[in-house]
Amino acid sequence: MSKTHLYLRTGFPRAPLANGLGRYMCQVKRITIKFCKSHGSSRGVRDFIETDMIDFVKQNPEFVLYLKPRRHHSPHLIAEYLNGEKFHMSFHNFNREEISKWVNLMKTRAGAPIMAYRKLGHTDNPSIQGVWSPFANQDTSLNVTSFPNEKLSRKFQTEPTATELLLEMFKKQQLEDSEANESKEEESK
Amino acid sequence: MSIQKLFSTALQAHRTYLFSIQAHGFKKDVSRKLMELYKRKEDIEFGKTPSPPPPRSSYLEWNYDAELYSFGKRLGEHIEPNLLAQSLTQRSFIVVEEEKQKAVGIEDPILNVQENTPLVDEGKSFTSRYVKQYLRIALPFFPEEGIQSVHNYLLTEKVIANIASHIGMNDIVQTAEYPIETSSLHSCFFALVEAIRQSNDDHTAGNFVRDFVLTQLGGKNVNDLWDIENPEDKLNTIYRNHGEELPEPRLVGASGKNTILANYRVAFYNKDKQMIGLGFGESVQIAKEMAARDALRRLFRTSERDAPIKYNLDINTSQQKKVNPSLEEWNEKILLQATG
Repeated sequence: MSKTHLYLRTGFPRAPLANGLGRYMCQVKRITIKFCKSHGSSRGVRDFIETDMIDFVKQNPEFVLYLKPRRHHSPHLIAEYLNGEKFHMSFHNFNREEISKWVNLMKTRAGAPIMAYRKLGHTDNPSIQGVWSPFANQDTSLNVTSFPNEKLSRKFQTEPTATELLLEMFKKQQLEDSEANESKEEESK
Repeated sequence: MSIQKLFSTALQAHRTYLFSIQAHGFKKDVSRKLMELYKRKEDIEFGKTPSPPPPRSSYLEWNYDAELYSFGKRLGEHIEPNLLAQSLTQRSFIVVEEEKQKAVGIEDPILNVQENTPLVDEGKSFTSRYVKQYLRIALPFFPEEGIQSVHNYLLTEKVIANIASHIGMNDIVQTAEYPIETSSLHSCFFALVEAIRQSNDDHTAGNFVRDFVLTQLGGKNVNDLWDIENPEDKLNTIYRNHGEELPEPRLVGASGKNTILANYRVAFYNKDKQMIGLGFGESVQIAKEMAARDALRRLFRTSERDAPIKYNLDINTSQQKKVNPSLEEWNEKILLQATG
C-alpha cells in the first residue's frame, strides 16, 4: 500500500480548457469495458451490452466505447479523459443498473483526479480591490485634514508602560530593603 | 519398511499441495515491484530517461474511423469525413507511409488520405482575421497595437497546441514523430479550422474559433499581454489629441521613506482636478509610471473595474469593421461617437 491511499490530495475545482465559457465539451474521450463472455462476475456487463449499450452509444457519440472480451477475467472499465488522465474501475458482480449509473458518472466527469476541495469555487483574482498597498482602506477623513494636527500629534499612551511600572516596583523594593536594614541595625545596637 | 517411510514422498507432496492452495490469489504487488525495479534500473544503471508510454493508436482497442467520428461530434461541428481526415494528417506521415509501401515493393504507393499542408495556411489566415475582428468588437476602446499583441499571444504555438491537445488531437493526429511535437498540433489545429470552414461557412468556423481560442482569455488580463513603453508619454499624447491640458502627476502618499519597504503613491489629475489614474511603487518614478498605466487602462476600458470580455458575440465575418485607432491617434470623443 502506497501513501497515495492514505492522503487525499486537495485542491480547487477547475474547468479544463475554460470548458463552458465557450461551448460545453464532453471530457471523456474513450471508454473501454473489459469483460468475460462466460464468467458469472461479468453477468451484469453482458446484460448492459445486450439491452442498454446501443441506445447509450447512440445518445453519446462524443466518445468511443470499446468492448474487449477477456476470457475468465473480472470485468472492469477504463475511462480516458481529454486531460490525459485514465481511470480504472472494477465491475465485478455489478448488475445492469449499477453499470449504467457508473458509466454515466464516468461520462459526466471532468477527468480531474479525485481530490478534497478546499473551497467549492476558484478565482485567479481573489481581490476585487486590486493589489494591497499601505494606503488601502485609509480613513477618508485624512483627505481633508490639515497638518500639523493637534489631535493626531497627541501621544497615544498616557498610562505608565510595563517597563516604567517595573522600574517603580524595583525602586520601591530597594527603599523597603534599606529601611528594614536600618531598623535591624538599630535593634542590634 | 514403515508406512511412514513408504508414503513419505506422497505425504510431503500432499502437504506441499495443501500449502500451495492456501497461498491462493494473484500477487498483484509482484508485477508492480518488478515494473518499479525495471524503471529504476533504466534510470540509474543505464542513465536513460524513462521511455514514453506506447502511442494510443498501437493498442488493440483502436478504431481510427470511430475516433474521427467521435472527434467531430465532440466539437459539436459537422465536418466532411474526408476533410477531417485530411486536416489531421501531416506531410511527414504521408512520406513515411509511402516509404514503407516502396520497401515492400509497391511502385506507385496509394494512400487514401491527403496531407493537410494546403489547409494550414488558409486556416491560419482565417483564424487570425477572425480573432482580430472579434477583439476589435469586444474591446472597442483598446488601441490597435494592443489588439495585435493579444492576437499574437492567442496564436502562439504554446496556446494553440494546448487547445489542440485538450480537444483530443494529440492521439489522433497522423504524423511520423512520437511523442507528437507542438508544431504539428499548431498546424493541425489551423487545418481543422479550415476543414470546418469548407464543410460549413465562415460563421460556423468563426464560432468555433471564438469558443476554443478566444475563451483562452478568460481569467487573464489583456493589459498583461501588451507591454506599453513610456506610458506617461502615451498619456500625454492622448491628452494632446483631446486638445486638453496635460495631466499633472502628484505625490498623494508616502510611507516608510529611506527604508527597504518604502512606498510612494502617485496620482494623475486632469485640468478639472479629477483623478484619472492612481499607482504606487517603491520609488516616486515607478509610482508615476504605474499611475500613468492605470490612467491608460481606465481610458481603454480594460481596468479591473470594467466588465470582462464577452464570449457570446456573433460576428458577421463578411462585414469589414474598421481597425481600432492606434495609440498615436487615440481620441475618446471620436470613439464614444462611433460606439454610441
